[in-house]
Amino acid sequence: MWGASAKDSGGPAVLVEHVSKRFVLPHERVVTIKGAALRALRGRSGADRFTAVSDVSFTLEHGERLGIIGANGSGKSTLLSMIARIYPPTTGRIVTRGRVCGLLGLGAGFNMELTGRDNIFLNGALFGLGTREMAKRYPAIAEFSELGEFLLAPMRTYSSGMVSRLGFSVAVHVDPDILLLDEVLAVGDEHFRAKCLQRLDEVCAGGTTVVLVSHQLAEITRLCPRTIWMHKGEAVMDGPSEEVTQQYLLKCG
Amino acid sequence: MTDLVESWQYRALLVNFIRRDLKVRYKNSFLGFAWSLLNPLCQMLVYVLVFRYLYPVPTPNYSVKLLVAMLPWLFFSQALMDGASSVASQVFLLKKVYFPRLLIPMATMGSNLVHFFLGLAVLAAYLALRGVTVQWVNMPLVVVGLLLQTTFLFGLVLLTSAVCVYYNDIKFMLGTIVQMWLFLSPVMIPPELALHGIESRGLPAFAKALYMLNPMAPPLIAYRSLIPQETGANGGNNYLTLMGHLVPNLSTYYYLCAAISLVVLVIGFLVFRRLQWHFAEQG
Repeated sequence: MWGASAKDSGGPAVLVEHVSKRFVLPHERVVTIKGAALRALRGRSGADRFTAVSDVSFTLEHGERLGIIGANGSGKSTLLSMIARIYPPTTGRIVTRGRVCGLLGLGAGFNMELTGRDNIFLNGALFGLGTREMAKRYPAIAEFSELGEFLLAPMRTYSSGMVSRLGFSVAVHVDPDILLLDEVLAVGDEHFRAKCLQRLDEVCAGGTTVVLVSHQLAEITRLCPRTIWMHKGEAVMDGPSEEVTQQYLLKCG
Repeated sequence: MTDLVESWQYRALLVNFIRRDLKVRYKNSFLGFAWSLLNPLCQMLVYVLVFRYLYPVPTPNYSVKLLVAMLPWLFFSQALMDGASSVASQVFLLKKVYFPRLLIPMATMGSNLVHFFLGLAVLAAYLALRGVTVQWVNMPLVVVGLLLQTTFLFGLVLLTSAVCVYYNDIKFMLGTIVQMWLFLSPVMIPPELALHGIESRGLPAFAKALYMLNPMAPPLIAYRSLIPQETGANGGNNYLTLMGHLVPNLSTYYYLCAAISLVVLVIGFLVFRRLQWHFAEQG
Protein backbone atom coordinates (compact mmCIF):
# COMPACT_ATOMS: atom_id res chain seq x y z
CA MET A 1 0.00 0.00 0.00
CA TRP A 2 1.16 3.48 -0.80
CA GLY A 3 0.36 6.87 0.60
CA ALA A 4 1.57 10.15 -0.78
CA SER A 5 0.88 13.63 0.49
CA ALA A 6 2.26 17.16 0.55
CA LYS A 7 5.56 17.91 2.21
CA ASP A 8 4.05 20.11 4.91
CA SER A 9 1.34 17.64 5.92
CA GLY A 10 3.32 16.72 9.04
CA GLY A 11 5.27 13.56 9.70
CA PRO A 12 8.46 12.07 8.30
CA ALA A 13 9.51 12.40 4.65
CA VAL A 14 9.59 8.66 4.03
CA LEU A 15 7.90 6.01 6.11
CA VAL A 16 8.55 2.36 5.26
CA GLU A 17 6.55 -0.05 7.41
CA HIS A 18 7.07 -3.83 7.29
CA VAL A 19 7.43 -3.72 3.53
CA SER A 20 7.83 -6.94 1.55
CA LYS A 21 7.87 -7.52 -2.18
CA ARG A 22 7.33 -10.84 -3.88
CA PHE A 23 7.66 -11.23 -7.63
CA VAL A 24 6.28 -14.03 -9.75
CA LEU A 25 9.31 -15.39 -11.57
CA PRO A 26 9.25 -14.33 -15.24
CA HIS A 27 9.27 -17.83 -16.76
CA GLU A 28 6.14 -18.65 -14.80
CA ARG A 29 4.40 -15.48 -15.88
CA VAL A 30 0.90 -15.78 -17.35
CA VAL A 31 1.06 -14.15 -20.77
CA THR A 32 -1.79 -15.53 -22.82
CA ILE A 33 -5.31 -16.76 -22.23
CA LYS A 34 -4.14 -20.15 -23.52
CA GLY A 35 -1.36 -20.16 -20.95
CA ALA A 36 -3.79 -19.25 -18.20
CA ALA A 37 -6.19 -21.99 -19.30
CA LEU A 38 -3.43 -24.62 -19.40
CA ARG A 39 -2.29 -23.55 -15.97
CA ALA A 40 -5.82 -23.80 -14.63
CA LEU A 41 -6.13 -27.30 -16.13
CA ARG A 42 -2.87 -28.39 -14.57
CA GLY A 43 -4.15 -27.06 -11.30
CA ARG A 44 -1.15 -24.89 -10.61
CA SER A 45 -1.25 -21.33 -9.50
CA GLY A 46 1.81 -19.09 -10.12
CA ALA A 47 3.90 -21.19 -7.77
CA ASP A 48 7.38 -19.81 -8.38
CA ARG A 49 7.66 -16.65 -6.38
CA PHE A 50 10.72 -14.76 -5.39
CA THR A 51 10.93 -12.55 -2.33
CA ALA A 52 12.99 -9.51 -3.32
CA VAL A 53 12.38 -7.49 -0.16
CA SER A 54 11.19 -8.93 3.11
CA ASP A 55 9.87 -7.03 6.10
CA VAL A 56 11.89 -3.83 5.84
CA SER A 57 11.02 -0.85 8.05
CA PHE A 58 12.61 2.57 8.45
CA THR A 59 11.74 6.23 8.75
CA LEU A 60 13.44 9.22 7.14
CA GLU A 61 13.00 12.74 8.46
CA HIS A 62 12.96 15.69 6.06
CA GLY A 63 16.48 16.52 4.92
CA GLU A 64 17.91 13.19 6.07
CA ARG A 65 20.34 11.28 3.84
CA LEU A 66 20.33 7.53 3.74
CA GLY A 67 22.74 5.20 1.99
CA ILE A 68 21.76 1.65 1.02
CA ILE A 69 24.46 -0.97 0.44
CA GLY A 70 24.41 -4.68 -0.27
CA ALA A 71 25.41 -7.32 -2.78
CA ASN A 72 23.75 -7.59 -6.21
CA GLY A 73 20.24 -8.94 -5.90
CA SER A 74 19.88 -8.00 -2.24
CA GLY A 75 16.74 -5.95 -2.94
CA LYS A 76 18.21 -2.42 -2.90
CA SER A 77 16.80 -1.37 -6.26
CA THR A 78 13.43 -3.00 -5.64
CA LEU A 79 13.14 -1.11 -2.37
CA LEU A 80 14.00 2.15 -4.12
CA SER A 81 11.50 1.42 -6.92
CA MET A 82 8.78 0.88 -4.34
CA ILE A 83 9.53 4.24 -2.70
CA ALA A 84 9.38 5.78 -6.20
CA ARG A 85 5.87 4.26 -6.67
CA ILE A 86 6.91 2.00 -9.54
CA TYR A 87 6.09 -1.28 -7.81
CA PRO A 88 3.47 -1.56 -5.08
CA PRO A 89 4.63 -3.43 -1.95
CA THR A 90 3.12 -6.91 -1.61
CA THR A 91 2.62 -6.30 2.10
CA GLY A 92 3.35 -3.34 4.32
CA ARG A 93 3.02 0.37 3.78
CA ILE A 94 5.06 3.17 2.27
CA VAL A 95 4.20 6.82 2.83
CA THR A 96 6.09 9.66 1.16
CA ARG A 97 5.59 13.36 1.86
CA GLY A 98 6.53 15.74 -0.92
CA ARG A 99 7.55 15.42 -4.56
CA VAL A 100 9.54 12.27 -5.24
CA CYS A 101 12.13 12.29 -8.00
CA GLY A 102 13.77 8.99 -8.82
CA LEU A 103 16.86 8.41 -10.92
CA LEU A 104 16.61 4.66 -11.25
CA GLY A 105 19.12 3.56 -13.79
CA LEU A 106 20.97 5.01 -16.72
CA GLY A 107 18.99 6.91 -19.32
CA ALA A 108 15.61 6.18 -17.72
CA GLY A 109 12.93 8.26 -19.37
CA PHE A 110 15.14 9.62 -22.12
CA ASN A 111 14.17 9.33 -25.74
CA MET A 112 17.37 8.57 -27.61
CA GLU A 113 16.06 10.06 -30.88
CA LEU A 114 15.49 13.49 -29.33
CA THR A 115 18.20 16.05 -28.68
CA GLY A 116 19.67 16.53 -25.21
CA ARG A 117 17.79 19.81 -24.96
CA ASP A 118 14.41 18.23 -25.78
CA ASN A 119 15.18 15.44 -23.36
CA ILE A 120 15.79 17.91 -20.53
CA PHE A 121 12.24 19.17 -21.06
CA LEU A 122 10.87 15.62 -21.43
CA ASN A 123 12.60 14.56 -18.21
CA GLY A 124 11.26 17.62 -16.41
CA ALA A 125 7.75 16.72 -17.62
CA LEU A 126 8.25 13.16 -16.34
CA PHE A 127 8.98 14.69 -12.93
CA GLY A 128 5.77 16.70 -13.20
CA LEU A 129 7.21 20.07 -14.16
CA GLY A 130 5.69 22.30 -16.82
CA THR A 131 7.48 23.71 -19.84
CA ARG A 132 7.66 27.20 -18.35
CA GLU A 133 9.22 25.96 -15.13
CA MET A 134 11.74 23.93 -17.08
CA ALA A 135 12.61 26.89 -19.31
CA LYS A 136 13.57 28.78 -16.14
CA ARG A 137 15.84 25.95 -15.02
CA TYR A 138 17.27 25.09 -18.41
CA PRO A 139 20.35 27.38 -18.34
CA ALA A 140 21.46 25.99 -14.95
CA ILE A 141 20.92 22.39 -16.10
CA ALA A 142 22.78 22.94 -19.38
CA GLU A 143 25.69 24.56 -17.56
CA PHE A 144 25.87 21.87 -14.89
CA SER A 145 25.87 19.06 -17.45
CA GLU A 146 28.88 20.62 -19.28
CA LEU A 147 27.58 19.03 -22.48
CA GLY A 148 27.77 22.27 -24.49
CA GLU A 149 27.21 21.71 -28.20
CA PHE A 150 26.11 18.13 -27.62
CA LEU A 151 22.81 19.36 -26.15
CA LEU A 152 21.65 20.03 -29.70
CA ALA A 153 22.56 16.54 -30.93
CA PRO A 154 20.34 13.42 -30.65
CA MET A 155 21.03 11.48 -27.48
CA ARG A 156 21.87 8.30 -29.36
CA THR A 157 25.20 9.98 -30.15
CA TYR A 158 26.01 10.31 -26.43
CA SER A 159 28.38 8.12 -24.46
CA SER A 160 26.96 6.43 -21.35
CA GLY A 161 28.84 8.92 -19.20
CA MET A 162 27.17 11.80 -21.01
CA VAL A 163 23.74 10.22 -20.61
CA SER A 164 24.24 9.85 -16.87
CA ARG A 165 25.45 13.45 -16.65
CA LEU A 166 22.30 14.73 -18.26
CA GLY A 167 20.03 12.59 -16.09
CA PHE A 168 21.77 13.67 -12.92
CA SER A 169 21.82 17.34 -13.95
CA VAL A 170 18.06 17.38 -14.43
CA ALA A 171 17.32 15.48 -11.21
CA VAL A 172 19.28 17.87 -8.98
CA HIS A 173 17.73 20.95 -10.54
CA VAL A 174 14.01 20.18 -10.29
CA ASP A 175 13.88 20.82 -6.52
CA PRO A 176 12.51 17.45 -5.44
CA ASP A 177 11.54 16.93 -1.81
CA ILE A 178 12.75 13.35 -1.96
CA LEU A 179 15.56 12.32 -4.30
CA LEU A 180 16.20 8.65 -5.03
CA LEU A 181 19.49 7.76 -6.71
CA ASP A 182 20.34 4.25 -7.88
CA GLU A 183 23.99 3.80 -8.90
CA VAL A 184 23.85 6.92 -11.01
CA LEU A 185 27.25 8.31 -10.09
CA ALA A 186 29.14 5.20 -11.12
CA VAL A 187 29.60 6.17 -14.78
CA GLY A 188 30.75 9.75 -14.42
CA ASP A 189 34.42 10.75 -14.44
CA GLU A 190 36.26 11.91 -11.29
CA HIS A 191 35.72 15.57 -11.99
CA PHE A 192 31.99 15.21 -12.57
CA ARG A 193 31.54 12.94 -9.56
CA ALA A 194 33.17 15.46 -7.28
CA LYS A 195 30.87 18.10 -8.71
CA CYS A 196 27.81 15.87 -8.17
CA LEU A 197 28.70 15.22 -4.54
CA GLN A 198 29.08 18.94 -3.97
CA ARG A 199 25.75 19.62 -5.65
CA LEU A 200 24.11 16.92 -3.54
CA ASP A 201 25.42 18.69 -0.42
CA GLU A 202 23.75 21.89 -1.60
CA VAL A 203 20.51 20.10 -2.42
CA CYS A 204 20.44 18.43 1.01
CA ALA A 205 21.14 21.74 2.71
CA GLY A 206 17.98 22.97 0.97
CA GLY A 207 16.00 20.30 2.85
CA THR A 208 15.81 17.54 0.24
CA THR A 209 15.72 14.00 1.56
CA VAL A 210 18.15 11.75 -0.31
CA VAL A 211 18.30 7.97 -0.61
CA LEU A 212 21.45 6.74 -2.36
CA VAL A 213 22.08 3.18 -3.51
CA SER A 214 25.73 2.60 -4.30
CA HIS A 215 28.57 0.12 -4.25
CA GLN A 216 31.03 2.95 -3.65
CA LEU A 217 31.32 2.79 0.13
CA ALA A 218 33.49 5.92 0.23
CA GLU A 219 30.76 7.83 -1.54
CA ILE A 220 28.15 6.58 0.90
CA THR A 221 30.13 7.53 4.01
CA ARG A 222 31.04 10.89 2.51
CA LEU A 223 27.42 11.79 1.69
CA CYS A 224 25.16 9.91 4.09
CA PRO A 225 25.41 9.88 7.89
CA ARG A 226 23.17 6.81 7.99
CA THR A 227 23.29 3.55 6.04
CA ILE A 228 21.16 0.43 5.71
CA TRP A 229 22.80 -2.85 4.74
CA MET A 230 20.54 -5.12 2.73
CA HIS A 231 21.15 -8.84 2.51
CA LYS A 232 18.81 -11.26 0.69
CA GLY A 233 15.93 -8.85 0.92
CA GLU A 234 16.34 -8.07 4.59
CA ALA A 235 17.72 -4.96 6.24
CA VAL A 236 20.38 -6.66 8.37
CA MET A 237 21.88 -3.48 9.76
CA ASP A 238 20.76 0.13 10.08
CA GLY A 239 23.02 2.73 11.70
CA PRO A 240 25.85 5.25 11.32
CA SER A 241 27.53 4.80 7.94
CA GLU A 242 31.05 4.17 9.31
CA GLU A 243 29.90 1.28 11.49
CA VAL A 244 27.65 -0.29 8.87
CA THR A 245 30.23 -0.13 6.07
CA GLN A 246 32.90 -1.54 8.41
CA GLN A 247 30.73 -4.50 9.33
CA TYR A 248 29.81 -4.95 5.67
CA LEU A 249 33.48 -5.07 4.68
CA LEU A 250 34.25 -7.54 7.49
CA LYS A 251 31.50 -9.91 6.35
CA CYS A 252 31.82 -9.54 2.61
CA GLY A 253 35.15 -7.91 1.87
CA MET B 1 -10.47 11.33 -8.46
CA THR B 2 -6.90 11.81 -7.22
CA ASP B 3 -5.76 10.11 -10.44
CA LEU B 4 -7.39 12.87 -12.46
CA VAL B 5 -5.98 15.68 -10.30
CA GLU B 6 -2.51 14.17 -10.60
CA SER B 7 -2.88 13.80 -14.37
CA TRP B 8 -3.65 17.51 -14.57
CA GLN B 9 -0.42 18.29 -12.71
CA TYR B 10 1.45 16.32 -15.36
CA ARG B 11 -0.25 18.02 -18.33
CA ALA B 12 3.11 19.11 -19.77
CA LEU B 13 3.99 15.43 -20.08
CA LEU B 14 0.66 14.70 -21.78
CA VAL B 15 1.36 17.38 -24.41
CA ASN B 16 4.82 15.88 -24.84
CA PHE B 17 3.39 12.39 -25.38
CA ILE B 18 0.80 13.61 -27.89
CA ARG B 19 3.41 15.53 -29.87
CA ARG B 20 5.65 12.47 -29.95
CA ASP B 21 2.79 10.25 -31.17
CA LEU B 22 2.00 12.62 -34.02
CA LYS B 23 5.67 12.97 -34.95
CA VAL B 24 6.20 9.22 -35.02
CA ARG B 25 3.09 8.56 -37.09
CA TYR B 26 4.25 10.54 -40.09
CA LYS B 27 7.95 10.00 -39.72
CA ASN B 28 9.51 9.36 -43.12
CA SER B 29 6.28 9.98 -45.01
CA PHE B 30 6.30 12.45 -47.86
CA LEU B 31 2.60 13.34 -47.78
CA GLY B 32 2.41 13.53 -43.98
CA PHE B 33 -0.92 14.78 -42.73
CA ALA B 34 -2.49 14.43 -46.18
CA TRP B 35 -2.78 10.71 -45.35
CA SER B 36 -5.45 11.56 -42.81
CA LEU B 37 -7.81 12.13 -45.73
CA LEU B 38 -6.12 10.10 -48.44
CA ASN B 39 -6.75 6.89 -46.52
CA PRO B 40 -10.51 7.35 -46.11
CA LEU B 41 -10.69 8.65 -49.69
CA CYS B 42 -9.07 5.49 -51.03
CA GLN B 43 -11.36 3.32 -48.92
CA MET B 44 -14.31 5.36 -50.15
CA LEU B 45 -13.27 4.68 -53.74
CA VAL B 46 -13.35 0.94 -53.06
CA TYR B 47 -16.81 1.09 -51.51
CA VAL B 48 -18.12 3.41 -54.21
CA LEU B 49 -16.89 0.95 -56.81
CA VAL B 50 -18.73 -1.89 -55.06
CA PHE B 51 -21.91 -0.15 -53.99
CA ARG B 52 -22.48 1.98 -57.04
CA TYR B 53 -21.26 -0.17 -59.91
CA LEU B 54 -20.97 -3.82 -58.85
CA TYR B 55 -23.83 -4.04 -56.41
CA PRO B 56 -25.67 -0.72 -56.68
CA VAL B 57 -27.49 0.63 -53.63
CA PRO B 58 -30.27 3.17 -54.23
CA THR B 59 -28.86 5.88 -51.99
CA PRO B 60 -28.38 9.41 -53.24
CA ASN B 61 -25.09 11.11 -52.31
CA TYR B 62 -23.71 7.69 -51.38
CA SER B 63 -20.04 8.63 -51.62
CA VAL B 64 -20.26 11.85 -49.60
CA LYS B 65 -22.36 10.21 -46.88
CA LEU B 66 -19.90 7.38 -46.75
CA LEU B 67 -17.00 9.78 -46.32
CA VAL B 68 -18.76 11.71 -43.56
CA ALA B 69 -19.18 8.46 -41.61
CA MET B 70 -15.85 6.94 -42.62
CA LEU B 71 -13.68 9.66 -41.10
CA PRO B 72 -15.12 9.33 -37.55
CA TRP B 73 -15.08 5.56 -37.96
CA LEU B 74 -11.38 5.56 -38.79
CA PHE B 75 -10.81 7.77 -35.74
CA PHE B 76 -12.65 5.17 -33.68
CA SER B 77 -10.88 2.09 -35.06
CA GLN B 78 -7.42 3.66 -35.17
CA ALA B 79 -7.63 4.97 -31.59
CA LEU B 80 -8.91 1.60 -30.41
CA MET B 81 -6.04 -0.28 -32.05
CA ASP B 82 -3.45 2.27 -30.86
CA GLY B 83 -4.97 2.28 -27.40
CA ALA B 84 -4.80 -1.47 -26.98
CA SER B 85 -1.03 -1.53 -27.37
CA SER B 86 -0.36 1.88 -25.81
CA VAL B 87 0.43 0.82 -22.25
CA ALA B 88 2.05 -2.49 -23.23
CA SER B 89 4.52 -0.64 -25.45
CA GLN B 90 5.46 1.76 -22.65
CA VAL B 91 6.13 -0.81 -19.93
CA PHE B 92 9.90 -0.24 -20.24
CA LEU B 93 9.30 3.39 -19.24
CA LEU B 94 6.92 2.47 -16.42
CA LYS B 95 9.66 0.33 -14.90
CA LYS B 96 11.96 3.31 -14.56
CA VAL B 97 9.89 6.41 -13.95
CA TYR B 98 6.75 7.17 -12.04
CA PHE B 99 4.07 9.27 -13.69
CA PRO B 100 0.28 8.92 -13.70
CA ARG B 101 -0.39 5.87 -15.85
CA LEU B 102 -3.62 7.43 -17.09
CA LEU B 103 -1.54 9.76 -19.24
CA ILE B 104 -0.76 6.95 -21.69
CA PRO B 105 -4.34 6.19 -22.85
CA MET B 106 -5.09 9.93 -22.62
CA ALA B 107 -2.22 10.63 -25.02
CA THR B 108 -3.58 8.01 -27.46
CA MET B 109 -6.95 9.74 -27.40
CA GLY B 110 -5.32 13.15 -27.75
CA SER B 111 -3.15 12.36 -30.75
CA ASN B 112 -5.99 10.57 -32.53
CA LEU B 113 -8.33 13.49 -31.85
CA VAL B 114 -5.82 15.97 -33.31
CA HIS B 115 -5.45 13.68 -36.30
CA PHE B 116 -9.25 13.43 -36.67
CA PHE B 117 -9.78 17.19 -36.51
CA LEU B 118 -7.15 17.73 -39.19
CA GLY B 119 -9.06 15.23 -41.32
CA LEU B 120 -12.28 17.15 -40.65
CA ALA B 121 -10.73 20.34 -42.01
CA VAL B 122 -9.83 18.55 -45.23
CA LEU B 123 -13.31 16.99 -45.33
CA ALA B 124 -14.92 20.44 -45.07
CA ALA B 125 -12.83 21.61 -48.02
CA TYR B 126 -13.85 18.51 -50.00
CA LEU B 127 -17.57 19.06 -49.29
CA ALA B 128 -17.27 22.69 -50.40
CA LEU B 129 -15.49 21.56 -53.56
CA ARG B 130 -18.23 19.06 -54.40
CA GLY B 131 -20.82 21.78 -53.79
CA VAL B 132 -22.70 19.78 -51.17
CA THR B 133 -25.36 21.74 -49.29
CA VAL B 134 -24.64 20.84 -45.69
CA GLN B 135 -27.68 20.56 -43.43
CA TRP B 136 -26.52 22.84 -40.65
CA VAL B 137 -29.80 22.25 -38.78
CA ASN B 138 -28.40 18.91 -37.69
CA MET B 139 -25.11 20.30 -36.43
CA PRO B 140 -26.13 20.16 -32.71
CA LEU B 141 -26.86 16.46 -33.11
CA VAL B 142 -23.46 15.97 -34.77
CA VAL B 143 -21.77 17.57 -31.73
CA VAL B 144 -23.78 15.27 -29.45
CA GLY B 145 -22.70 12.32 -31.62
CA LEU B 146 -19.04 13.30 -31.34
CA LEU B 147 -19.31 13.57 -27.56
CA LEU B 148 -21.02 10.16 -27.34
CA GLN B 149 -18.46 8.52 -29.62
CA THR B 150 -15.50 10.03 -27.75
CA THR B 151 -16.88 8.98 -24.36
CA PHE B 152 -17.50 5.42 -25.52
CA LEU B 153 -14.13 5.25 -27.25
CA PHE B 154 -12.18 6.52 -24.23
CA GLY B 155 -13.87 3.91 -22.04
CA LEU B 156 -12.88 1.15 -24.48
CA VAL B 157 -9.33 2.48 -24.79
CA LEU B 158 -8.91 2.51 -20.99
CA LEU B 159 -10.25 -1.02 -20.76
CA THR B 160 -8.24 -2.55 -23.61
CA SER B 161 -4.99 -0.73 -22.82
CA ALA B 162 -5.01 -2.09 -19.26
CA VAL B 163 -6.09 -5.63 -20.11
CA CYS B 164 -3.64 -5.90 -23.04
CA VAL B 165 -0.69 -5.59 -20.64
CA TYR B 166 -1.73 -8.98 -19.24
CA TYR B 167 -3.39 -10.63 -22.21
CA ASN B 168 -1.86 -9.63 -25.50
CA ASP B 169 -4.49 -11.78 -27.23
CA ILE B 170 -6.92 -8.87 -26.99
CA LYS B 171 -4.83 -6.94 -29.49
CA PHE B 172 -5.08 -9.70 -32.09
CA MET B 173 -8.79 -10.22 -31.48
CA LEU B 174 -9.47 -6.50 -31.85
CA GLY B 175 -8.54 -6.44 -35.54
CA THR B 176 -11.28 -8.94 -36.37
CA ILE B 177 -13.77 -7.38 -33.99
CA VAL B 178 -13.29 -3.94 -35.52
CA GLN B 179 -13.75 -5.40 -39.00
CA MET B 180 -17.03 -7.06 -38.01
CA TRP B 181 -18.11 -3.94 -36.21
CA LEU B 182 -17.57 -1.88 -39.38
CA PHE B 183 -20.02 -4.07 -41.31
CA LEU B 184 -22.65 -3.85 -38.59
CA SER B 185 -22.36 -0.07 -38.24
CA PRO B 186 -23.90 2.56 -40.51
CA VAL B 187 -20.71 3.27 -42.43
CA MET B 188 -20.62 1.58 -45.82
CA ILE B 189 -24.08 0.06 -45.68
CA PRO B 190 -26.54 2.97 -45.29
CA PRO B 191 -28.65 2.55 -42.11
CA GLU B 192 -31.89 3.19 -44.00
CA LEU B 193 -31.08 0.20 -46.22
CA ALA B 194 -30.01 -2.01 -43.35
CA LEU B 195 -33.11 -1.19 -41.29
CA HIS B 196 -35.40 -1.52 -44.30
CA GLY B 197 -33.82 -4.86 -45.07
CA ILE B 198 -34.46 -6.08 -41.53
CA GLU B 199 -38.12 -5.08 -41.89
CA SER B 200 -38.75 -6.43 -45.36
CA ARG B 201 -37.10 -9.77 -44.65
CA GLY B 202 -39.38 -10.28 -41.68
CA LEU B 203 -36.59 -10.46 -39.08
CA PRO B 204 -37.81 -10.10 -35.48
CA ALA B 205 -38.22 -6.57 -34.18
CA PHE B 206 -35.36 -6.86 -31.73
CA ALA B 207 -32.93 -7.14 -34.66
CA LYS B 208 -33.70 -3.50 -35.38
CA ALA B 209 -33.19 -2.62 -31.72
CA LEU B 210 -29.87 -4.47 -31.67
CA TYR B 211 -28.72 -2.59 -34.74
CA MET B 212 -29.55 0.71 -33.04
CA LEU B 213 -28.12 -0.32 -29.66
CA ASN B 214 -24.64 -0.45 -31.17
CA PRO B 215 -23.17 2.63 -29.43
CA MET B 216 -21.57 3.66 -32.71
CA ALA B 217 -24.90 3.67 -34.62
CA PRO B 218 -26.50 6.85 -33.20
CA PRO B 219 -23.35 8.99 -33.64
CA LEU B 220 -22.79 7.73 -37.21
CA ILE B 221 -26.43 8.42 -38.12
CA ALA B 222 -25.96 11.93 -36.74
CA TYR B 223 -22.93 12.53 -38.98
CA ARG B 224 -24.76 11.22 -42.03
CA SER B 225 -27.62 13.62 -41.37
CA LEU B 226 -25.31 16.48 -42.40
CA ILE B 227 -25.74 15.41 -46.01
CA PRO B 228 -29.17 15.97 -47.63
CA GLN B 229 -31.06 12.88 -48.72
CA GLU B 230 -32.04 14.16 -52.17
CA THR B 231 -30.11 16.64 -54.22
CA GLY B 232 -32.71 19.18 -55.23
CA ALA B 233 -33.11 22.88 -55.64
CA ASN B 234 -34.26 23.23 -52.03
CA GLY B 235 -31.23 21.31 -50.74
CA GLY B 236 -33.16 18.09 -50.24
CA ASN B 237 -35.27 16.82 -47.38
CA ASN B 238 -33.98 16.07 -43.93
CA TYR B 239 -32.30 12.74 -43.46
CA LEU B 240 -33.48 12.52 -39.84
CA THR B 241 -37.11 12.63 -40.95
CA LEU B 242 -36.46 9.56 -43.06
CA MET B 243 -34.71 7.80 -40.19
CA GLY B 244 -37.58 8.77 -37.90
CA HIS B 245 -39.96 6.80 -40.13
CA LEU B 246 -37.77 3.70 -39.88
CA VAL B 247 -37.01 4.06 -36.18
CA PRO B 248 -40.00 5.73 -34.49
CA ASN B 249 -38.23 6.05 -31.12
CA LEU B 250 -34.99 7.39 -32.60
CA SER B 251 -34.22 9.83 -29.77
CA THR B 252 -34.51 7.05 -27.18
CA TYR B 253 -31.51 5.37 -28.80
CA TYR B 254 -29.46 8.54 -28.29
CA TYR B 255 -30.25 8.43 -24.56
CA LEU B 256 -29.45 4.71 -24.45
CA CYS B 257 -26.21 5.33 -26.33
CA ALA B 258 -25.28 8.00 -23.77
CA ALA B 259 -26.05 5.59 -20.92
CA ILE B 260 -24.02 2.74 -22.45
CA SER B 261 -21.10 5.04 -23.25
CA LEU B 262 -20.99 6.41 -19.71
CA VAL B 263 -21.14 2.93 -18.21
CA VAL B 264 -18.29 1.78 -20.48
CA LEU B 265 -16.25 4.84 -19.50
CA VAL B 266 -16.76 4.19 -15.78
CA ILE B 267 -15.96 0.49 -16.14
CA GLY B 268 -12.86 1.30 -18.21
CA PHE B 269 -11.69 3.82 -15.63
CA LEU B 270 -12.24 1.44 -12.70
CA VAL B 271 -10.50 -1.48 -14.43
CA PHE B 272 -7.58 0.72 -15.42
CA ARG B 273 -7.25 2.09 -11.91
CA ARG B 274 -7.28 -1.38 -10.44
CA LEU B 275 -4.71 -2.87 -12.83
CA GLN B 276 -2.36 0.11 -13.23
CA TRP B 277 -0.17 -0.56 -10.19
CA HIS B 278 1.04 -3.86 -11.56
CA PHE B 279 1.80 -2.70 -15.12
CA ALA B 280 5.50 -2.28 -14.29
CA GLU B 281 5.78 -5.90 -13.19
CA GLN B 282 4.81 -7.22 -16.62
CA GLY B 283 6.89 -7.72 -19.73
